[in-house]
Amino acid sequence: MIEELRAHCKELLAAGRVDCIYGLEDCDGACVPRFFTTAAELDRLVLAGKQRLFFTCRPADRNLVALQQAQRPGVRIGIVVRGCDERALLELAKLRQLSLEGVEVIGVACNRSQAEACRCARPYPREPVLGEKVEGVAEDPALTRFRRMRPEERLAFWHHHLGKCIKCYGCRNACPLCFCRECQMERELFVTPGALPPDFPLFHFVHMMHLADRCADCGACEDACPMDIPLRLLKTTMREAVEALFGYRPGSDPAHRSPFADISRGEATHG
Amino acid sequence: MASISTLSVCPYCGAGCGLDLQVHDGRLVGVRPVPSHPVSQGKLCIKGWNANEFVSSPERLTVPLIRRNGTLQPATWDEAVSLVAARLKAAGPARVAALSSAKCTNEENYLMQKLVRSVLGSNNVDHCARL
Repeated sequence: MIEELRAHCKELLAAGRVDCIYGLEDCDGACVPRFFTTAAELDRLVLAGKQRLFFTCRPADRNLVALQQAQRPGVRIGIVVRGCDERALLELAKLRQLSLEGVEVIGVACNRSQAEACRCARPYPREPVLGEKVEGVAEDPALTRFRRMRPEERLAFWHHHLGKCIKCYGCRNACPLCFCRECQMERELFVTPGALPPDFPLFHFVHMMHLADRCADCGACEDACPMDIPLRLLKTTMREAVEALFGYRPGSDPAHRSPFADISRGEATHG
Repeated sequence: MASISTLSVCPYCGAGCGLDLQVHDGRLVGVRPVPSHPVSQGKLCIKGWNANEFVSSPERLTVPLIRRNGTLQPATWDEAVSLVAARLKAAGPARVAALSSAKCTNEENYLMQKLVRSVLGSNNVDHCARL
């Protein structure tokens, strides 16, 4: 699979269809996102389960694709994406954090065991170049258990889990769709400085609300949490509410605008 | 723009979480967790997430300081080590204690207790994690 992917990317470069490839590089056993410009470099291109492709949150995590596009107008970039990466890519484009112009999406479908490892419902990009689309995990078992809880049990559940938070901001830092320069999770109005655990439930709800119409369901927030807080449950239930109310599914259709983007124009329909 | 990632280990505590240091144009600007790291498995605490900050902090000590006439003044390593040795010698074993650290390597901690027990002749050895 990885050899096929490298060969495909090398072909794109050789044929002049793209100027560079954006993907994950094997770096001493860890994986990091980078640009590849030669066939030799592409021998280090990898696909890695838990490593994400887009980091946009903090000054250090400068959005590399947007930077490249700003520095080289008209640059054509091939981007190697899995399902989760593509959803993030499409939402970032809608939110004008990067441009899809000149971008060649190189989609790779994950297999069933990878999908299960990530508890992923859509383990494939829209049009995979490599791999077969396999059915995703129907429902996260944690979500199934959560659905059976009564409201007071849910409240106790969240008090227990959110009470473990050590406010490392890892969920926000790791999120590919978090890019506000001034983060509301750092505002004293919502979050008391120096207090642990952070204000229930505002700290986590700020993140949840901001992601309601853009969460790519990649699981980066939950993977980054050192306290094992089931953060995806928050995001998934919120996403479901947005889908039920507005028929909007983040990352599925590049032409479909977020209902929240249209609220100011009075076009949103409720229910 | 040159962007480099360098793998390292968090210097803050004894856990030893994996860090992916973000270097842009020769400057350390950020830290990311390492999902494949056997210890931290892609997680970090807030100190790890911001471990890059002290590297370029203007408050970081870059030379030894010796207090002279009530104020700390820059000194050479030779001066500093000689002063410490003289003071330790003057104090004697019963009035000396050493605190090592969980963020040092095993070898450094071994050398620390060896120095205190064999050279200074004291059993007063402990480490910062018990403070």
